[in-house]
Amino acid sequence: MDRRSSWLKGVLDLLVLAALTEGESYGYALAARLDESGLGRIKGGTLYPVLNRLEEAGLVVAEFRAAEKGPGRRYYRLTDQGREVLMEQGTAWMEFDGSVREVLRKGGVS
Amino acid sequence: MDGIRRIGTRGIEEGRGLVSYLDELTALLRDRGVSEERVRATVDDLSSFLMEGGLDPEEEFGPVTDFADDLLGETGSESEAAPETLVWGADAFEAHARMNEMGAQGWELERLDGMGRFVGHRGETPQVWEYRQVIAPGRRERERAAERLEPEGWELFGYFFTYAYFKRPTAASVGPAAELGERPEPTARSFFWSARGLVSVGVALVVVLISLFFLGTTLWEGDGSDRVATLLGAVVGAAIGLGVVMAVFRLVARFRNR
Repeated sequence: MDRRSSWLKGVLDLLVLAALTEGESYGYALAARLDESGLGRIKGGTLYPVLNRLEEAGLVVAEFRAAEKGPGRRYYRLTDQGREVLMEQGTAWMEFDGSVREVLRKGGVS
Repeated sequence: MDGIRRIGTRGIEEGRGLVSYLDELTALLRDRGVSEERVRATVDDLSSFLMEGGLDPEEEFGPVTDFADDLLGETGSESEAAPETLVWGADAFEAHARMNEMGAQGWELERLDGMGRFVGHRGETPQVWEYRQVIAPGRRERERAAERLEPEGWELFGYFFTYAYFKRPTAASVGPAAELGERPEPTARSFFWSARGLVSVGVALVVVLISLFFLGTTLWEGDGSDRVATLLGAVVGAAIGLGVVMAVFRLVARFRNR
């Protein structure tokens, strides 16, 4: 696992929750949104297990909608609990990020 | 979005790969007890994901069995299987032999609980462990014992009353030969007594009962001043007795840990 994948693994659930604050979405669109944000392409094999875990934990709810043409999709929506967890864990991540930045800055990384 | 679109439409064109992957995934999810409705929604959704991006299922989701496990939060058979745990006790005369017997069966002891029982675990690929019981009353003596034994690879894992307990993986001395060939069933016994342990406890109980009998008789029959003097004498006597025992243990520990 390269370093970037390793970073992403620790925070992907929060990124998915954050992406859902703008409204409901589905797997492919979420992957595309994260890709557009500069996080790189997240494969379905990584994204879907995370979505399932979030659903099991009650942080998102999913609704299947059949399509007129082609296969249907599961649409994910953030729950109140998911919003709370995002705020709490997101804040913790920001603090962690701040500490990392500080140490790197002192180490000469600008 | 571009990153995904760039993959192209190869997956759709190679429709047979997609169908066969999803068929296999459907069967795996059913085998794992997922409801028919959930299986259909999941497979439809994944199919839609692949088609929208023109993606190859194997490339996108990885090997189908692993993906089915990942979707259900299962992590494969070996890597994160919960280790077996075992809690048992033994008297001080029996503990050393029993610890090593358990160690030979792959049990790694982690600590002693509040009742002085050993708490250990055994993972999927257990190693053989060896153990030592050392007289070391008090923190200072435990530190001395640890300083003496650590160079030989012994690690302090717990203590109880006047004893400290150390462990060492047998691999430290014999290498790969310490891997366990078989996996014996865990013992069903919760406490191991030795003959000496039983005799010691029996004698101690008799002494305590006799002491309490005489103490009670004196308190019952004596007047006020007798009672105070008797109680004081009992407390001082018990403290001296305990002090002598501790002093003997300390002397032995000091001598051995020099």
